[in-house]
Amino acid sequence: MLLHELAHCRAGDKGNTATLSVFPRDDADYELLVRTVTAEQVRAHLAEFIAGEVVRHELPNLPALHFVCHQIVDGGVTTSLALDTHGKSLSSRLLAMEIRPAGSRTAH
Amino acid sequence: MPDLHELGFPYADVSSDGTAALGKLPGTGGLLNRQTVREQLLYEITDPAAYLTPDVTLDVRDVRITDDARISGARGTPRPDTLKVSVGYRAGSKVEAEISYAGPNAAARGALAADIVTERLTGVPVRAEVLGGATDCRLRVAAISHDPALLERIADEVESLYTNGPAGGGGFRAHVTEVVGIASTTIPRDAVRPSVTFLEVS
Repeated sequence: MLLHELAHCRAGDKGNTATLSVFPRDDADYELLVRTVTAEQVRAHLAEFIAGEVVRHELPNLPALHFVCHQIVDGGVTTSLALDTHGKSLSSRLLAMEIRPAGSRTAH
Repeated sequence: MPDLHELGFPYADVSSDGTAALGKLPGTGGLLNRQTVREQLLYEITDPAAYLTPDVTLDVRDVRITDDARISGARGTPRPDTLKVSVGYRAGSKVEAEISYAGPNAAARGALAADIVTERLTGVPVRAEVLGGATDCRLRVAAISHDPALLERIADEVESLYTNGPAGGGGFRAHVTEVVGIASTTIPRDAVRPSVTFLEVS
């Protein structure tokens, strides 16, 4: 299943650091996302775009998983040569990640 | 999502007790709900425990959002002694040059075109990529330089693919734009004297 089926996401940027906020469509799936979507998996899925460390913050009250991604490849917004200079599309690229959750409450 | 063609940006009525009520003007499109509000709440925050703003150091870890787009639980610690400064500098100009390929083997012809351009521009730092699908794609070549002649040459190399490249290249476009780079740093708050100037244009 794609992460997109369980979550929505928004990307932000600060220089060559990207933030990716992942939210369950159903709050009941938050714990499942905590178990399933790790910083290592995010970094591996977006390896083409992220050269540095990925730090995951857990925010159970929203609920949200907030990923801070360092050293975006060809980042820096104004001096980037990429077509998407801000990395706004990283949010949708992350939602294309294949996940294998156990115990999803969302029917398929 | 209703009426995106008449989108209205939201506003927040913020209280000192860490709550806020979000609203937007009647008759405007868009939607305020838990999903849109929490996406905006975390936007570009690199430390949810300490988001530096000029007025407060914000901790959003206990924030909750209700279905009617009310926020509670924001906490603050004293504002930082320094302010963030974004310094703009002239970083040269950026050329972006593109050409399309379509039909059978389009992606392969795009890749070949990229090889030709990078080979001819050996030693010049360019980004060459083939964007789009297998049967309708576009070669995009981009570079930043302070040398206008070099930027023009890069565009010329892509345009030359019309007659010196893979079959069926079409739709060449190129443009050059000035680049203002951004360097971020901090300065002591007391070094800044705020002032506001209104300019009216009739």
